[in-house]
Amino acid sequence: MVVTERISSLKVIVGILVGVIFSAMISVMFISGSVNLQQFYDVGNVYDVSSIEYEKEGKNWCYNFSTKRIEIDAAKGSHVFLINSSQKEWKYLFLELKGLRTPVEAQAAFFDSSSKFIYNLHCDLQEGRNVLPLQEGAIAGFALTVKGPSSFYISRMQFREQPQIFEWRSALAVFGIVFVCWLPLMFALFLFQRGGRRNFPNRGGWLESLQEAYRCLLCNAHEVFGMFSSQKAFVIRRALFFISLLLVYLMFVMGWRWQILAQRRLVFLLGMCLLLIAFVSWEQKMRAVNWKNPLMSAWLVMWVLCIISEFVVGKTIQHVGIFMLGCMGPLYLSWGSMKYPDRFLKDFLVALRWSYWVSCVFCILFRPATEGVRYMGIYQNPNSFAGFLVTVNIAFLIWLDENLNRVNLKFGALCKNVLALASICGFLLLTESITSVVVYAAQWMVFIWKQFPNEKTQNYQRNLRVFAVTFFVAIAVTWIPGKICLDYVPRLLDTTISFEGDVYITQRNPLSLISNAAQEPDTGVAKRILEKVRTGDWDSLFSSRTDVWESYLRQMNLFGHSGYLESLNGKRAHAHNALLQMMSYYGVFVAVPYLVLLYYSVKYGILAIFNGGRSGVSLFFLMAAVNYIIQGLVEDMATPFFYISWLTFFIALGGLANQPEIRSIRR
Amino acid sequence: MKDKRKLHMFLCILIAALMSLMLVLMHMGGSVNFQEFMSAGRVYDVEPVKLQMSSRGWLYESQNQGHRLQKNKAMIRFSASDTVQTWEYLYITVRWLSKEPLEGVLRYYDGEDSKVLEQPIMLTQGRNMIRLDSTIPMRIFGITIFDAKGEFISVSDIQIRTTPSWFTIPYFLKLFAVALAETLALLVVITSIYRLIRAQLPGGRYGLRGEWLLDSMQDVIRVFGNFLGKQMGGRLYPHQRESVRIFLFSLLFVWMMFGNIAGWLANTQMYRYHVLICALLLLAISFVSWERALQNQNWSGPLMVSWLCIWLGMILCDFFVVRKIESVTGYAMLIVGSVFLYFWQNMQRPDRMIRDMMEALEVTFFLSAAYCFFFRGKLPAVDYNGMFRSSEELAMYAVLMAVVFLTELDWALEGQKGFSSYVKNITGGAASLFFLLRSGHLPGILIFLLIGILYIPIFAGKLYRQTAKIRTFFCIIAAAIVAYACTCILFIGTKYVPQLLGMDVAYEEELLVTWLEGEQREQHLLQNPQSLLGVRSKQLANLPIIWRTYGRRLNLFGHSGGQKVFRRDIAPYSGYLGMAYQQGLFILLPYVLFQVLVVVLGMKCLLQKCSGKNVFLFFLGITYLCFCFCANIERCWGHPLWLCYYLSAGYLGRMEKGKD
Repeated sequence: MVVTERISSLKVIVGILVGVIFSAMISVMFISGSVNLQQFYDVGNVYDVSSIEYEKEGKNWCYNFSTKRIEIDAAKGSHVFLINSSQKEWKYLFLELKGLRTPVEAQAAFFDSSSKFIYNLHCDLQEGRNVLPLQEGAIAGFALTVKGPSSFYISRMQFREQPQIFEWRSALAVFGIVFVCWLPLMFALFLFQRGGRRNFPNRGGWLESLQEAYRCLLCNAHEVFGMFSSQKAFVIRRALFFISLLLVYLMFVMGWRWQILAQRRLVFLLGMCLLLIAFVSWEQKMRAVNWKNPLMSAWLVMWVLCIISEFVVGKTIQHVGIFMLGCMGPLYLSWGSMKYPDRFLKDFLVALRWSYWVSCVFCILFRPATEGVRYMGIYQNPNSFAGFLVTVNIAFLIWLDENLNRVNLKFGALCKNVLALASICGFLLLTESITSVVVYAAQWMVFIWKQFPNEKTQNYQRNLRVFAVTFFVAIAVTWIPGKICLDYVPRLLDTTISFEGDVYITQRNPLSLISNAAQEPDTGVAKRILEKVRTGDWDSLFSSRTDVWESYLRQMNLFGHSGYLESLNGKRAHAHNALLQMMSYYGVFVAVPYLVLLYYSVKYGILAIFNGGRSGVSLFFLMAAVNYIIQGLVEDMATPFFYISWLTFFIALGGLANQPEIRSIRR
Repeated sequence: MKDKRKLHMFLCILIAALMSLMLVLMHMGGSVNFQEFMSAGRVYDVEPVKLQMSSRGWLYESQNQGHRLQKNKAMIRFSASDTVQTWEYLYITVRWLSKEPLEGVLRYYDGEDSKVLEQPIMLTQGRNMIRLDSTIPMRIFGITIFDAKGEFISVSDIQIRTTPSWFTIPYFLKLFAVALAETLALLVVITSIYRLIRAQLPGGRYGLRGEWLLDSMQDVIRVFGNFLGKQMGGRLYPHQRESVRIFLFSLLFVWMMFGNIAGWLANTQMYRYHVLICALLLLAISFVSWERALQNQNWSGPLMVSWLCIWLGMILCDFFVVRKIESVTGYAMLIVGSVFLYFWQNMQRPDRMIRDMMEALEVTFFLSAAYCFFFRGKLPAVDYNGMFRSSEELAMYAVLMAVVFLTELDWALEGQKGFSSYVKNITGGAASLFFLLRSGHLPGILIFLLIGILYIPIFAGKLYRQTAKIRTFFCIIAAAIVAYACTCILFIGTKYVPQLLGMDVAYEEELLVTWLEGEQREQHLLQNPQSLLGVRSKQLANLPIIWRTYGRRLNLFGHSGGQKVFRRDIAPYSGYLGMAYQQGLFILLPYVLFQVLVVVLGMKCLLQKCSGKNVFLFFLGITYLCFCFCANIERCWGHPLWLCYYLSAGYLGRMEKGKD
């Protein structure tokens, strides 16, 4: 099958994307009144008091969860707000109120870190933005006292170093002007490039050179590693894939990601594992591998940008670009060169399945479930574990997809895999991670969609029935005795292990663990979803992630930051969004290749399913992409080396890297 | 084959020596500690200048190099640390005593300078070990000698530490000899077993050797080199290539010197950008030098392998030590340096590269001399730093330029060059010598003399073989007169012009050093008060202590920062110690091997009969080797000598025999 595509349209889209980012950058710098490439929105530091703070009870200060309003019935209502930011000296307090019918008298009493009173501020609070100029000195919090019964909604409480002297409306105008100017410039650039193509090495040339360099490396390595026959190679490959997954897991759990030396060693080991896989898999009589496609172009540009960013800004997580270009690239080429590329993928899936079974045993023996607390499994927080579960779920779904059509479906293998699918579902519900449940559902939808052509096959119908019965039995087995085991075995054997930094999250995050657990033992995903939907606002729906996104957007710059940024409650946290995280790590312009990469991973993933040459495992590519993208919407998928989902996605790209020659259609 | 055997033997001995050194140090430290072989704990050596100070009871006699005790209760005090700390051992090495033994007390003083303890001591000639009370912290200690008025004591060394010291040279040598013999025997056994195993194992073209890595590296360079080289060098005529190369080399040298002067070599933030520019310039030179489709070279020779191992070793240390500055050097040299070497080795006439490099050095030298003439005045009684931040760097640069001009002169003698060539080279040589003498750097002067002595027979031979001897002789004499005149102008210029024009430039944190010490310094200060403000005395007397301090801290994978000696950061004044301290002991294996091979191959280059014969590489090798013993030569990406030396592997690497 030949993929036909209008490259020029891609170029236009890329140009527009660059234009949008560029215009946004200029507009933000314009309204903030300074040209600062280190921070476009240069208005000094800003600290948003978390919305969770408003929800806490105060003296005669009640928060109505249904209306989201603060209600004060007595003559005086007060509430203490703490400043959790590392910065304590601020110049302004912005208080944006809504639904306040009449102005109310208020008083803010500020105190320092030893709770010592410093000064008082009197003001009349009105509907809209109230700006309170603060006195000099460090403050650790303040008590806001509102006089008289009132009811209002706090839409923003913000400490700032500089006043906001602009309106966002003016930014829109600047954005429009810059973007309009950008468009003719972009087309001129295209024309110039077309005219001067002979003088400049084009994209294809770079990719060809890169491919050729990898080919030379692999050919030379084959002289040494060619001694392994294909029978031995698959064992080595599986073992190495398993070790790679283990390394990624250890990097996260052992906290080695924050210890620079340990991190470097692990990354080196991971790189060596991938290179060894590439060397072992390389087949001299290779198929023609074509990397001249937008996916690989975006991949290359993205990691080059990453290397530049890493050079300019010292990173807490290092060597990503070098790792990708130095180790992942040869792996892709080696995979592409294989006569039967599915074998490579199958080995990876086997390693994924192994990792699941090992983690399952580990959970049963060492990690008990606690009522009222979201289950963390082999990780330190439930969301990470859920991410792992939905990733390994792909491996089992693919097995199912491959085997549902078989004439002789082995019952033992079916039982094993169905048990895994059922237990993953069980674990997932214990984690109560909504994101992962959505991903899980998406995976099943993709799986079911893939099954439509098989529906009328007799084998399929028979196997489906067997599967359905087995699945119900497996659910019964895992959810009753399995749950009991999970609850009691580690405690009975006294083998409970807790990791350093375990995050015990209850449904009413992040209040006292024990009280919540005692009050609400009956939790669940459904209840969580229901509560989120019932509140009906974005902040609650995304569990305050909107604050984090806002904070990240505010700190965007040209070359990126060294690590996580200070966001919610003054703590350093990841962006809870892969795109924002990438932009924060490697600079705003990395968004362009990243989005192109994501788009083409999905597109080629879909094409892979329809490609006649592909076998059942071709479902993997789309599933890995969907898994990565959906998780990446609200979780951190961009931080390298931390997540098995991340590794899975970038390995999946290897299968999509080799595309048939692209033809440019000109009308 | 014979050469290979010699090389293997040399390597074996070197490995055995390094391993023995490690074992002996660990044995002396009493534990297996790879973080610090000697496990020396905290150690403080009293600075020799402090040992020459007088107190009310101890009068220093400089002619006798000792103290005369003035009272029956004579006391002298030394500071042990800036803060109050506990210590366990005090070592006082007495060179000479007029009366033996001397009895007295050791006093402990706390942070507020009040006495906290007195401990009786007895001093005899030789090394005295005094066990201190480790429970009592102190900042200052005082030695009081009783009933010895008029007696003489010469103390050569005082050391205070938290662990006992077993180090004495005879003891060390004895242990080292035993360890060396054992390690050599072990190495022989291991090598035999390895050969046996290798013979049994199957293998492709490479077998168990790592040559495939070298080939792969070259392949990668070849692919991208051809791709980019065609766009740059492929579009230029040969003479254009040369001009561009000279220009880029000049730019590179100037940039390196500028970065050094600006202090970027020690600035973590700026250093990476500095190296980036250097690397880009070097890459540009490489791509400009593209002449034809590139071909892989033989990099499995010992020179190239050792060259690569130095930078790989640096990078490897990053997995064990957190630092930023050194790793940039390693990456830049490994990637960009390899590209440059590969392109150089692919040139049809590789000697053109040396000539261009030398021409660029000459251009920058004359520019630098002009800069010194107008902007860098010589301070009275202070060693001249020239365009650099220290006189040592100026001396290294001067010797490098002397080598360049000697080589040019050598070529001039060989061919029929005109008078202008003699004038240029002899004037350049004279100016180099002038800068060298002004720098007052003794090792530099000695190295210059050594090179001069080595060159005399070559010069005499060449002159003898000349057809127009008398013409050449007169040309040289005339050129020497011109050179003398120019040097006089330079001498006067650097002394008066910057002050006269008010354009004297002083750098921040410049290392100013004076040769004046003791009474001479005081007399000078009486005549010119404030003139030696911020000027240090030479470290010559301190060198053994500095080396000892660095040697004590040697470990397997190096350190992140500098070492404090006498409570301040002092460089090691030795290339070997510096490398071993920063990158771990075993970096010396490729480092020493590389140095030896540069000299050996440089010698071959000098003696070869074919074209391309030159003295430059041999003298460069000798210069670097000699500076390595007593100077801070490893000015990574900050000194032309450093760059020229490491890049010389491009020419010498091609000389190594091997496959086509």
